[in-house]
Amino acid sequence: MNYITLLSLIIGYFFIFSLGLVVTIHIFRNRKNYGTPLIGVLTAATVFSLGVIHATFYILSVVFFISEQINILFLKFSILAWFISLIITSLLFSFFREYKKIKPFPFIFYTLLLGLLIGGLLTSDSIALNLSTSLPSSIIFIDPSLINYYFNIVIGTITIGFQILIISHYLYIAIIINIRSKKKEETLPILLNAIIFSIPITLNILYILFQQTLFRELFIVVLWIAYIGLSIMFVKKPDMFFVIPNRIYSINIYHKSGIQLYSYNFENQSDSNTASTIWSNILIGLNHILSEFLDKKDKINVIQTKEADIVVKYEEDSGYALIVITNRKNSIVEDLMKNFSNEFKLKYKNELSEILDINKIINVSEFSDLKDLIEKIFQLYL
Amino acid sequence: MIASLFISFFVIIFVFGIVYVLLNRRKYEVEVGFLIIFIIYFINEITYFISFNLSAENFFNIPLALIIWYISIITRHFSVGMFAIIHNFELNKDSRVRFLPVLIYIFIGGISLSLLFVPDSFTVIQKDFEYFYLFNNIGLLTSIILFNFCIVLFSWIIQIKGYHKFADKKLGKFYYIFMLLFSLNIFLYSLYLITLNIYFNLLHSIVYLIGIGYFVFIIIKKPNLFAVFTNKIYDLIIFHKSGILLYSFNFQTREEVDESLLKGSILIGISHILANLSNLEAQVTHIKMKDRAVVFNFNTQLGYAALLIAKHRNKILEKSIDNFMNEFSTINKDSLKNLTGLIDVSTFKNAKGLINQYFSHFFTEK
Repeated sequence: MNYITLLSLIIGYFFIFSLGLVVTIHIFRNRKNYGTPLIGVLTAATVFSLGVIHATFYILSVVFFISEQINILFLKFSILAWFISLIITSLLFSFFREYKKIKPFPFIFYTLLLGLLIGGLLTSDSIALNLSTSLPSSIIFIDPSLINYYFNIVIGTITIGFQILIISHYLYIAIIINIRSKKKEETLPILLNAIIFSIPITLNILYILFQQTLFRELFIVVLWIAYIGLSIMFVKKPDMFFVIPNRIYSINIYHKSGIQLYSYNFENQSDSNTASTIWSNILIGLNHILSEFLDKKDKINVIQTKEADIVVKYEEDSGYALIVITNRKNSIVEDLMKNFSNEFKLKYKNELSEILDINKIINVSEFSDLKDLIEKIFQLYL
Repeated sequence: MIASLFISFFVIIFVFGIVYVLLNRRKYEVEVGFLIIFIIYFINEITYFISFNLSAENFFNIPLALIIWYISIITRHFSVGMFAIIHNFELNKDSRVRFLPVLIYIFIGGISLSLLFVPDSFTVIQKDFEYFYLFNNIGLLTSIILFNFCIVLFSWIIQIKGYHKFADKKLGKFYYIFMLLFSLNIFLYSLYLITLNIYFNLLHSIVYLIGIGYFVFIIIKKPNLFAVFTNKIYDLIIFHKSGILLYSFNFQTREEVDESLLKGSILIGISHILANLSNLEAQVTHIKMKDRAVVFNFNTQLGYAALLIAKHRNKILEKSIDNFMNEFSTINKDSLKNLTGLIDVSTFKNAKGLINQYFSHFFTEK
């Protein structure tokens, strides 16, 4: 009996299981650092599903022998966990490209394949177990090379097709981000990540194709190594989701009279008053028109131009509007705008209440020290 | 015999509908992508109904009849699923979970499809002149019933929640009746699969034909079905770059808005926006609000812009504005080029004819 492989897998499993639990709790507790709670929860779900659920069922199906049916059942659960982990990871990858702007077609295929897989797994002959030793009478540890599984044609085709689709999707997103990005070095980790993750997936495809236990063991070892790297990245660099998908060009604050209180340009990281005056004009104009034609409660949320989205946040009680010009409006930008606006209101409470009366003279120089606040809240976009 | 009768009725209704739509195609405005989906949907419906009825005929031998039965189940899943998906996307546009029902349908449909290929899923029973298909695979029957149940449940939730979004309320009411027929049809189909009772089969086919006939009736009665499902235009306003209002039309009252009724704030606003007309990069194309959208279309050569206030922007709307602007520019080219001195905006009253021509789909009933 080969104890080295057996022990290595068990030790590896306990390490991955503990790491998975710790990282999941860490991400969940710090989910706000991941841009939005949704991204935080999805990241935690990926880590938990891969490191805890998949790893557990995998180990139970290849290291122990309980009974033929139960071992097959564990393997079926591990395949399901693997599918779900890959779908969630794919969703996260899509967020790299454009937050919450997911192309639905890949996910429609994934869902269909997941449904087909579950239907296939419900049939009795979908997976067969082959034990290269005499059938044990009780629960025992077993040399993983002695326990092998054969997939029927339906399950084999579905799992291979699904994994090929996933690899193509990861690589496609990573390449697209890399091509479109002006700062190639910033997007390189995504590309590397996609390539590294493709290796265990390819090994799993090879296992299903050739039914050789060596590919299965290699798959889990490479997967767990990639998993450790991924966990470190998730903990060390939670902001990676923030920066890659979008850019902020400038932040402007306008008084309700239309006077610009402050403007900050992200391109040259300076206070700027010239480039944004055009938007001031447009905004005043639009509000005039809309106040006539529309219900006054229905304020502008976003203005789309050929090159940018102008996101508007009104603070009616304080008499100003915060305008952020970005390449694409998303929840991360909106959350940061909300935080910024709250701090701005707090910091300039007196000044803002003084100019609530539009007949008062506005001294815009009172707001000139906003640079620090912007750089604090929007530091990831600098 | 009964099968051929049903199929004949079905073909008559379909051919009538298709011929009518082809003869009156100018009345119908539809996005190409949507049209393709609709054609695929109808192909599935046709295949389903014909194969469902033929599979019961003992004219075919058992293996062939079984293949036809399989085709009917697969196409049934596709057609019912596609209809529910289209319905969901139109009425559930702004929802954060608009993809959730779709993914649930696809997921359960995938399970059914997978279980369908398990060998010996059916036992074919021959009674009199008909075949009946008894489910040996309970998992398959359960997944089909679950699929149908989810379709009906989610479609009703979406219909009730989204009723207020129907731009044309009469169309919304038509849709309620169609949803009733659709649900009844699914219910009878499910009962037939469970009980294999011939009466449920007959009732299902009759309700199915009534449903299809009613759908053809809606298409004939409401040619704007595809353009205004949930969309609505409120106003169309045309400005010159000098800030002068050239023309304004209200879609609710279906009347031109007299310029003296427009307040000064609008004119101030327009001059602010048109001051940037020459700056192509900063040109505003679209403004989104919670319940409305403002679409801008500029003509920098002739120095004017059209502003359209609608419920939401879509390709049909954009195409209509483009066509309107092109035609407006052609017929008013000389007037727009010579806008100096005392300006007579009554020249641009011809815009009303163009509105009737390009936006007639958007005249909705309250």
